[in-house]
Amino acid sequence: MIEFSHVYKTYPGPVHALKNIDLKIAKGEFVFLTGPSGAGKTSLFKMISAFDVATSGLVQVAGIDLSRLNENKVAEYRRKIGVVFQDFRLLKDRTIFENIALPLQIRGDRSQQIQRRVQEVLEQVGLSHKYDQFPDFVSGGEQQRTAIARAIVHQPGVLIADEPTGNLDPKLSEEIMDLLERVCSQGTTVFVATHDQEMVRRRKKRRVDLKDGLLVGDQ
Amino acid sequence: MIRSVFEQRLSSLKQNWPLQFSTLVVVTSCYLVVIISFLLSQNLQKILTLWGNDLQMTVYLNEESEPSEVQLLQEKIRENKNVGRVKLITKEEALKEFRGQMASYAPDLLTHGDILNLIPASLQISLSESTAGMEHLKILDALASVLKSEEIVSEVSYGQDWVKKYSQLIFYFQRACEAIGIIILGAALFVLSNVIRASVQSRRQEIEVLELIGAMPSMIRLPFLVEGASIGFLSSVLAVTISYLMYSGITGMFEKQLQFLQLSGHLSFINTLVIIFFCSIGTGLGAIGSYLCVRQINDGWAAKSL
Repeated sequence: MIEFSHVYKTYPGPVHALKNIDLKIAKGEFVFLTGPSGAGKTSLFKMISAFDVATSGLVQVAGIDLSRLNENKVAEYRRKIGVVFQDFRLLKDRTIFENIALPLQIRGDRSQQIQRRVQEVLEQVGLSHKYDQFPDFVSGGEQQRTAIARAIVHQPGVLIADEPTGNLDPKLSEEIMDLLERVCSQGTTVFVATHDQEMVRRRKKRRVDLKDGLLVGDQ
Repeated sequence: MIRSVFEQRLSSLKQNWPLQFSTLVVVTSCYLVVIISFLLSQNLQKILTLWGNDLQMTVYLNEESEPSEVQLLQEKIRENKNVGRVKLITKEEALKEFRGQMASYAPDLLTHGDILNLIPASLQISLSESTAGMEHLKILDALASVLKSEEIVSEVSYGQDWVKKYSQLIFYFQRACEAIGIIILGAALFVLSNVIRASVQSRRQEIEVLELIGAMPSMIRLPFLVEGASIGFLSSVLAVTISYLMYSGITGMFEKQLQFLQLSGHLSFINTLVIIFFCSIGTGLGAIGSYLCVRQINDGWAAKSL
């Protein structure tokens, strides 16, 4: 599903963010990405979400070579993936329902379809009763569940989550991880960057370690 | 989709209303200056045309010219398609008119037979009504140079000095209006572009999210283009309305003076076609000003800075 082959990323300076990354993640797999700050996790995620391209090497997601996408194709590609951030990135002037509905509106789905699908996802993430609330009036855990709901509402093949539990307490973190595992069990490839080593050990999933731009572990 | 665009436009209006309002005032003022310049230029041109219509050429004939030669010259002049009327004023008729005009001013002069004998016969030429006002001077110039070469013509007069000066004045005024118009429209474009830039910055987070979930750049740009176009449209409609009120007020205030100058029936406000054209240009400028700013929103403009 996700394939990195001899990938290098160098920023002006020069700063070598990624060095000779070889990585394959199969469809429906759940993988943790760990490593200290500056290890290259964000660069790797930027490439998967097509906000950056490799200096050299090949990055493929679902068979698509991401270096060959034009402006419109990039947008089309992003509709096939889901992205979750530590700081949720919700639109504060829209309700939870409206935030979740955004990817479907962008895709041009009909209003009834949107209504039905958003309600399904709201139930899945346990937010049916909060659909008409604004993000600032719900808890951090609920905001992150909203962000996950928005990332999965269009049934993406890949879900990448950059420190999704970074702003949450341990109990809420576990809830979010349970939710991500449920998403994975439905066939979505889930790739989660985290600092939380304890949680990674507890979850017993594949773990990829980055250090100074190098892939130092894959277990 | 369209509903979403207008919702975003309304949301932007609510968020940035002081900025939007001041932009509306500035852009309306710019457009107003352009309309007023156009209105002045259009009406001055009308006045020139009006005065041009009254313009006549007097062709003074030599003492020794024969009636047959005069007849021939008249026919030759009539062949010119720009000429409307040609009238022969004989020496006697000219004398009679002169006497009538001078009787009250210088009665002694009328007794001097020698002086009176100096008044020549002439041809009074008017241009046809179909001739465009601004063309009068050129036509008269060309006609005068042809007639001056005729043997029986001693002099040609058509008040060329003041007409030349007046049309030069109009010419420079129009060029000045055009230059001012271009500068003002450029300023309007700059203001509009900066307002949209502020709007883009204030909605950067929203753009970032839209980019993340796969919105096409054109989808993200559209609400801003609509925003710019609607400011442009609203400003041009307001400018037309205000200029109409000003025009009505001023012509009403100076009604008597305009009647005395025989101009009241000849001045007019810009016509409907020009209004439609102006509003289209105003709207288009708004959209262009907006586009100049939002063209930077492409492939992850906001989200790349994550």
